[in-house]
Order: sequence, then C-alpha cells, then structure tokens
Amino acid sequence: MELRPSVLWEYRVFLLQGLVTTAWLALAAQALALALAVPTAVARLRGGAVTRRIAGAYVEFVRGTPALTQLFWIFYCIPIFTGLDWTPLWGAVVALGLNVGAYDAEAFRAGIQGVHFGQVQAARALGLSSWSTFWAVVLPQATRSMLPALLNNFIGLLLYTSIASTIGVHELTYAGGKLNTATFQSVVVFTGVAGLYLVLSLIASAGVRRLERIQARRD
Amino acid sequence: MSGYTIDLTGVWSRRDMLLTGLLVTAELWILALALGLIGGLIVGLGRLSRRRVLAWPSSCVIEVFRGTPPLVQLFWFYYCLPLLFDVRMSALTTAILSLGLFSTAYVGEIVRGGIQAVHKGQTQAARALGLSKLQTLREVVLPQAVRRMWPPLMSQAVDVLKATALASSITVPELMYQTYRATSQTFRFVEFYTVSALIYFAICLPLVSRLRRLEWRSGA
Repeated sequence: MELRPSVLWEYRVFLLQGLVTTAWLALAAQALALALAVPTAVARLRGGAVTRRIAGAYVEFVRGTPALTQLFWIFYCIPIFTGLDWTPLWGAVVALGLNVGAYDAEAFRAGIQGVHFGQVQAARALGLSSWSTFWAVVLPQATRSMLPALLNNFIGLLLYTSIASTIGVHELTYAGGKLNTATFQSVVVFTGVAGLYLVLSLIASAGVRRLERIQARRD
Repeated sequence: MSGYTIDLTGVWSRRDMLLTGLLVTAELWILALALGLIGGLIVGLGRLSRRRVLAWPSSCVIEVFRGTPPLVQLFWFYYCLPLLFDVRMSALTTAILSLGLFSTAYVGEIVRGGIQAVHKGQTQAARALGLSKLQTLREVVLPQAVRRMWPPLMSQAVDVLKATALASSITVPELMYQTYRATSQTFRFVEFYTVSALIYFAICLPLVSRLRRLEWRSGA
C-alpha cells in the first residue's frame, strides 16, 4: 500500500467546499437551536401544565434517542406528513437544530434557575414588567453563566454534523467518503478529514477555556 | 396530515429483523462500554500521572477521540485498520473497538474529574499513615471518586447507546441498520423509524430517570 498524502492537496477545493457546508450546517442548526431552547426552557420553568408537559416531552425524547434516528425520522417522515419537498441540507438543519435545541434548553434552564430570586424581586419592585424582568435582568445573567455549556454543546454539534453525510448532505465527511472511493487513499483521506475536525474542535475548546478564565477573573 | 394512514402490519411481520438488530445493538453497547470503562480508567489515571510517557499518550487518546466525530472514527477504523495492520475484522468487531475507544476518551475525563475532586488532604493523610501510592489510590481515592463518577458515567452509557446507531453506516446489522433495511423493503418510513426510536427511548428512559434521581440527591 502506497500512501499519497498529496491527494489532500490535489482535492483541496473539494474538501474545502465540504468544510464550508459543515460550518454552514453547524451555524444554521445552532441558530434554530437557540430559537427553540429559550422558549422551551421558559415553558419548562414557568409554563402551564400543558406547555410544561410538551416542552418536557420534547427534551426527554430528543435526549433519549440517537441523533441519527432523529435525522432519518425528520428527513423521511416530515415530507410524508406535510407534502414538503426539501433538500437533505434543510432536513439536516432542522434535525440537528431540534437535537441541540433540547440540550441547550437544559443549559438555559439551569442558567435561569441559577439567577438569584432577589434579582427578580428587585426588578419587579422597580416596576419592570415580568417580560422585561425576564428579558433584561434574568436572561443576560443566565446567559453569562451558561455560555460555557452552550459552547460545549456547539462543539458537539460541529462534530455531529458529520451524520448529515448519511442522508447525502455534501459536507466534510461526505466529501471524505467520495474522495476515498475515487482515490482508494483511505488512510490519507480519513486521517485528513479527522484532522480537520480535530483542528476545528481544538480551536473551539481553546476558546471555551479562555472564556471560562476571563469569567473567573471577572467574578 | 395529508391523509397518511399508519399501518403497523409491516412492522409486526418484520419484528424478527428489529429483534435481531436490537440484540446486536445490545452486544455492541455493552462491549463498547466495558472497553470504555477499562480504557477510561487507564487513560484517566495516565493523564494525571506525573510521568510524561504515561500522561502524553493518554492526553492524545482523550483529545483525539473527543475532538473528532464518532462517525469519522468508525470510517477510519473500518477502512484504514485493514490497510495499516493487515487485519481482518468483522464490521461488528470494528465498531466495538471504535466505539470502545470513543467511550474510553470520555470515561477518561470522567475518571480524571472524579479523582481531582477528591480532597488532597485525603491522599496526604493516607500517605502519612504509611499506605503505598497504589494502596492510597485503591483504598482511599478511588472509592471516593467512584461515588462522584456515577452520574456522569450513566449519562455516558446513554451517549454510547445512542452512538451505536452510527455503526449502521459501516454495515453493522444493529437496530438502525435493520430499520433502514426494513424501510427500503416496505417504504413504511414513519412506522419503522418511530418504532425504532421508541425502542431506543425505552432503553434510555430508565437510565435517564435514575440519573435524574442521583443528581437530585447530590444536589447538582
């Protein structure tokens, strides 16, 4: 077996396109996740009996089933129910967004619970409405304390975007698979792809550690 | 709903497929977890060691397997191991090894965290009382650390179960693979994926609710 590391350079544009799709997928899913996580966390903490149940069921079901099963369910079953004709990329954004949304909701919930009740009482005593108390007083403090958890979830998401390759999204892992069948340079290709993910996640986790240090200094 | 009717007869007539898949999932899960517990104890202790020959490789295993997607790890083991070492392994063995190392990395960090959380005074006291380093670790530090390690280990067990579904992409005939195969025979996507998801959920639920109780008790 001959190792030709040069294939990574020869196909750099192809791999880079995959990497860009991976980044795009992660960011789009993260945006959806945040949009879902805040209302879910609020529903679990302050909602009525029904909304509380629904939010709880969503979180528990996502956390108790494999992301791959969720991806397949959403990508294949949503079009059957809705008649929607969507691309694998959008299916993956929705599935991964729903997945990380549940984990982020738990992080938000812990963050909101961690804000001292005196803060709410003080804000209310100063005449803020319950909505502005939440938006302007509780949420900013909660976000600060749970930012590390959210960023860790994001790193997990970045790695888990790789499962989108199974429904045919042309991201980095998919590009690696194609390149493998085209060149038979399995060792070079998969080591290179794994290396790219490793670099991304090491940069991201260095960022998280830095953030934690800055926060520790401020407190 | 656009008039879709649920029909579970296809699922019922293929229950054997799902059951065989479930058994393979269970085998993969338990063996990968066992490998992860043994490996995790080694690399977790290794990373804490003052000797660089132990600490450095342990850190490498932990960082590499936590910093890359488990799916890419599976592909790497499936395609590259036979080329590099001239070994023939079944897809299942490959997946056990790959997911075993994946959980090794996470268990390693749990072990490290658990040991670091034990107060230094405990070690100093044990050493002052004349216990050897190994005795201190085995009789004093580990028992206390293990109590703290329980909740994260259980949540890790759930994560490994969910990761076993990825093995379907290297043709391991586990639950997800069988589900996919059944849908390509019947085109009953909704029924099969829902049932399959419910099976995974039914295995996770007792673990998750037990975990919740543990966390409640420890006040975390």
